[in-house]
Amino acid sequence: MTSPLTPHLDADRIAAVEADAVDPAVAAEARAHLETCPECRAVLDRVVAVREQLGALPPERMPAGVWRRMEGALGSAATQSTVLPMNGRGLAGSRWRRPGVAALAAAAAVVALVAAVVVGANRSDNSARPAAGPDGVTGVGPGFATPQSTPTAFATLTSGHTYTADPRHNQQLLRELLQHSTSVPGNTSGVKPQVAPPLQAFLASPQPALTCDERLTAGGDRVQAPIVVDLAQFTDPAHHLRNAPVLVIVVPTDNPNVDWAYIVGPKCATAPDNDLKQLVTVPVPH
Amino acid sequence: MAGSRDDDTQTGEARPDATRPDDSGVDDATLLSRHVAGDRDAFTTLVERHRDRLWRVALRTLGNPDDAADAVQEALLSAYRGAQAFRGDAAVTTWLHRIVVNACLDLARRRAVRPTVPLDEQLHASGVDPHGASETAADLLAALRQLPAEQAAAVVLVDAEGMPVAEVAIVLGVPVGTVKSRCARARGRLAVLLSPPAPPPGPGNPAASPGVQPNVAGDPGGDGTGGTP
Repeated sequence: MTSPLTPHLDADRIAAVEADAVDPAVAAEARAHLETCPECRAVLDRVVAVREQLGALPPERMPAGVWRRMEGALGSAATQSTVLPMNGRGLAGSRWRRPGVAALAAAAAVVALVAAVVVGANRSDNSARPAAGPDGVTGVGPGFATPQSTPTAFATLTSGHTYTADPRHNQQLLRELLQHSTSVPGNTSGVKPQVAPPLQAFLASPQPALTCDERLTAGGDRVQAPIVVDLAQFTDPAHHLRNAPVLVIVVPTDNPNVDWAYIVGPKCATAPDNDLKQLVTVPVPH
Repeated sequence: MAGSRDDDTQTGEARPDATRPDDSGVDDATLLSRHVAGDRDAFTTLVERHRDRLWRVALRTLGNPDDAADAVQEALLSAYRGAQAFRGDAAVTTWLHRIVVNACLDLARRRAVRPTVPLDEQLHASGVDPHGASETAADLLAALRQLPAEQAAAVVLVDAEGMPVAEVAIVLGVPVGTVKSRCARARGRLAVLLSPPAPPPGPGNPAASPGVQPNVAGDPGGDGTGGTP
């Protein structure tokens, strides 16, 4: 057909020249060929056209059905477990630490068992609940001095419930717990809970409880006075945990339809930053 | 909910998204931080802002909606669970794109979704004239499916989504030169796939069509070795 002075360029090379992605010497040689070769110039035209056509593709949107599927997947992820750092502060400041997920998981299993369960709670009984302090940092129990020296009368129960890795099971226990705690508002003065030895230190001073609360709620405006604290157990064969002593700390959230319950090990307040929580969400029944 | 807003930001930066009234001016990084802190709705809100872009990238990289949905779902769950690993040194959108593209590339490898039948044969078999006067978007998408997924992702991000090459380099986790190289390969291949019919090769003229020429001046190296300065 044509008789260019040099062999035809392949389309990749032509596109690379067009994209300014080759050495200048190579580009010069290629351009010299293009000057003499209408076929290769046609390919170059095609390359330019392809770029333009890609840019002119219609702005498709995610189909509604696909979005519903995504919402469902994210929702069910929330009802399963999410590994989150206990000290998750804002992104704007220091960088996020990047602890290895595997190490985190191991720490979760061995060091501190911390499961957060978002509990649907009937907020019609809100008036019976203790209010959080102005800064919310009032999470201490009966017998604890509060920073505002205002005794906070949240319930401390000893349910003896055995929580597991199953969020639905925990949900049910927590619903029962909340029903019980609201039926006995303020409770527990006079009740000596059977505190498992590992938890005694935790309860001996308000500071660990406060620190734990702050850690659980990631600080800031989410630190809330607990609604109820329960002494319970946790069994998870997958992590070789059997009847491990745990505290269940239920705190209000800014969502009137949702409480959070943290199931924490005794090292909640003292474990280093690799402490974990599992976030489990529960839709509020209406 | 679907299609209720235009997220067609071409810069890859989150800023234009952050001013939408329905999001109360909360920027992406704040939403992600709220998610990590336990806000149940923050992540969905974040994803909703960018879902269309993420969808387009997945769809055009993988070439079919089923695989795209699988990849995006896997990516979103991965991002949901791994949000604490986000470092503030890149835009949240860049991070999201990276996770989605990685999921697409993984899926492409696992399923070998790239068809092996040449485009022309596909189109001829379906009765479509591949060289008709109008090259539709469908032709272009069909041609994209012929590319290796790595190339398709690069050219989709750069040319279709208008993402800066430097950001695409972050998304793909490769040097800028590699992005350019992949894009060039992709455009070259697409140009061939979408080119008008070549004259039938006569005896002794097997290379009449540019599209079937031997790679006389080709880059023998892999991505990123194509002489990029």
